[in-house]
Amino acid sequence: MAQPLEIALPPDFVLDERYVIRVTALDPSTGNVVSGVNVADVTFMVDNLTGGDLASGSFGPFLLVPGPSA
Amino acid sequence: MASEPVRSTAVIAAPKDYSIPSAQVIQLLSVTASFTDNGAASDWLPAVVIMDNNGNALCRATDQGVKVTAGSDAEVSWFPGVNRATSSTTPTTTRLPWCLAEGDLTTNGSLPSYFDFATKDTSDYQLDAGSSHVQIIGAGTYRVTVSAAIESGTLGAATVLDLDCAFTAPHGINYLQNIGSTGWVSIGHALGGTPIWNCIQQFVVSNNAGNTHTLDVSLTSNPAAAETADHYVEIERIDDPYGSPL
Repeated sequence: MAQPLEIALPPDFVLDERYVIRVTALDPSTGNVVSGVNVADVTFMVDNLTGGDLASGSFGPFLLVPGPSA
Repeated sequence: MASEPVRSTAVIAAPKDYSIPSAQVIQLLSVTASFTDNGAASDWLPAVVIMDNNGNALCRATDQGVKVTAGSDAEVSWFPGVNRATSSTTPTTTRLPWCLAEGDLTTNGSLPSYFDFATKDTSDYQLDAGSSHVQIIGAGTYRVTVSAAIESGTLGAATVLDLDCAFTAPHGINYLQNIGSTGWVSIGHALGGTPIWNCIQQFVVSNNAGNTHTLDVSLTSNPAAAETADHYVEIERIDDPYGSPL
C-alpha cells in the first residue's frame, strides 16, 4: 500500500544546466542506495528561468562525471 | 517566467535521475515520485538528491522519520521549506488527587461513621478499618474541607455546637494554613421550618514525609442534644502530584 509522505527540499534553490535531480531510495543506516526499489512516475514542478525546452532533459541513470576531488 | 511540470513515467530501478538540459536554469518547486517495491531487502528512505554538474551532492532531502518498510510501495512529495508534520500525541488531562467521604456525625462526641468513601488515588488516601477516619497517606500538600450540617431536630437558641478537626500523625503535623472556620450558621429553613445549621472548616496540611495522617472529627453540643449531622470530608492534593511537595 502506498504511503504518502512529504518532506522538505531546500527553498530558493536555483539549479543550473547539467545539474541533476535524483530520486532514489536510501538505506536509513548507511545512506547507500537500496536495491530492489523501482521509481515510476516522477513529476517536478519548476520555474523555468530561461524559458527553454525542459523536456529535452534526460531521464534515467547515467554516468556522472567525477568531480575534481573524486 | 512560467512554472511548468516535467514528468517521466518510465519505471526504472532507483536511482532515477533528471539532468537539466544545456543552457537551462530552473528553480525547483516540488517533486512527486512513486516508488514500487521490487524485492528490497531492507527498509528504505525516499530521497531527492540534487547534484551539481560534477556529480557532487548538494543536498539530500530525506527524513529518518519517513521510512518505508521493505515490501511496501510509496508515493512521496517534496516541497521547498516544508517539513513533514510529526505525529501528534493525544493530550493527557491530569487531575488533582482527590477524595470524598460522607457519613453521619452525632453531637454526642462519638466518632463519625463514613458510609461513602470515594477516591481514585489510593496511594494518597484511605479510610481506616473502622470507617471513622479519613487518612492521608501520600506525601504532598493537601487542602482539607470538613463540613457538617444539622438538618433536623430543634436546637435551642443558646445551643453551642463545636466541630473539631485535627490530624494526628506519627511525627506531628504541619499545618501550613488554617483557612478558617465559618462557625455554625443558620443557612435557612428546611421543611417544617427547622433551621439548618451548617459549619465548614478548611485548612491546608503538609505531609512531606509521607506519614499516615489521620483526620479526627468530633461534634459536640452544649447543652447536650441528640442531633445528627450530614458530614463530608473533601481533600484535594494541591501541590504538583508529579513533583515535589510544597
